[in-house]
Amino acid sequence: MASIRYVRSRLSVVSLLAVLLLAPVASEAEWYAAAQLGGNFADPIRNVRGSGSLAGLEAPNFNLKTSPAFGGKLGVFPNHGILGIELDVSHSTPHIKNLDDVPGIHLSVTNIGPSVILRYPGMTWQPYIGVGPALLVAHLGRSTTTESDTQVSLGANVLAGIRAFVTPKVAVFTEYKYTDSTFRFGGAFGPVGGFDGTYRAHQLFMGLSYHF
Amino acid sequence: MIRAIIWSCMIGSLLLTAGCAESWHQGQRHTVWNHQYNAGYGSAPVYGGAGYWWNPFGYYGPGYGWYGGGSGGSHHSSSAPAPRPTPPDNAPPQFQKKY
Repeated sequence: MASIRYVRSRLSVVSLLAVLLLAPVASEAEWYAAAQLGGNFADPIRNVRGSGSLAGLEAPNFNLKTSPAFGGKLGVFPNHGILGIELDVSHSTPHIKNLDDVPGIHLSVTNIGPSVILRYPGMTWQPYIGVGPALLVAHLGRSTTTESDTQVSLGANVLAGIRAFVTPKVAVFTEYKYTDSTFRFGGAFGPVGGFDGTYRAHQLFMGLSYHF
Repeated sequence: MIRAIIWSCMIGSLLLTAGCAESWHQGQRHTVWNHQYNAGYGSAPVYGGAGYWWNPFGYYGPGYGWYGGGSGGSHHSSSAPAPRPTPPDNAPPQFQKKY
């Protein structure tokens, strides 16, 4: 008898949570899509360590170039509330600068990040902050010292921005995003091995969003 | 509506300017670091100057933190740092750089 009561109470809690979480999304939700353009200001790749047969070796920091960045967002605020989720995809090309006489290397980074967004739901102005995991797809180009190599790593995004509605459905926004991850280019130097390094980047965007 | 656009542009410009300034400081900091490393000053980070403060999430290299340098001292190992392994001849030039 007690176990039936326990199961019923558990089911009630789960049902209540499902209703609370899903009902607003289904009935009253503010969806939005956005395009953004800006700059990627990456720190040097730090803690550069060899991998494979190069394990145990260390290299100086790899300085990265400042590059343009672009991307898009798709998000939703359930019940037009203050809490929402969004998927942000951005692409940048923070090429590795030359290291004295060692030529630079082409590097491109695609950041795929689902974030939880907290906003002030103002009529015109909407400041917001967000945080979430990041999936970084980085591609290292072939150079005189490296082989072409693509790696996928997990990281984190922290962002803050402000949105201003210029019509009831269209808004302009500016956003700062900080990304932290570790690149693991295991095949960067071909059969010899590769390298790992800490990647941290600051991105600044301006964009346009449409709210459905 | 026009006021909103103007305000947005102003704030965007301000943030963009700040971003560029940080990037410049970043480059400046590493230029200073590289010079010091090349001059054989060891691996201790620079604790003064604009470059030290600008990045609240920054990482300041192996010499910084609870166990490495800083101002604490009591937890710092007194033994000399372990010698770095010598790169083999076939190691990429990046790993043969002195730093």
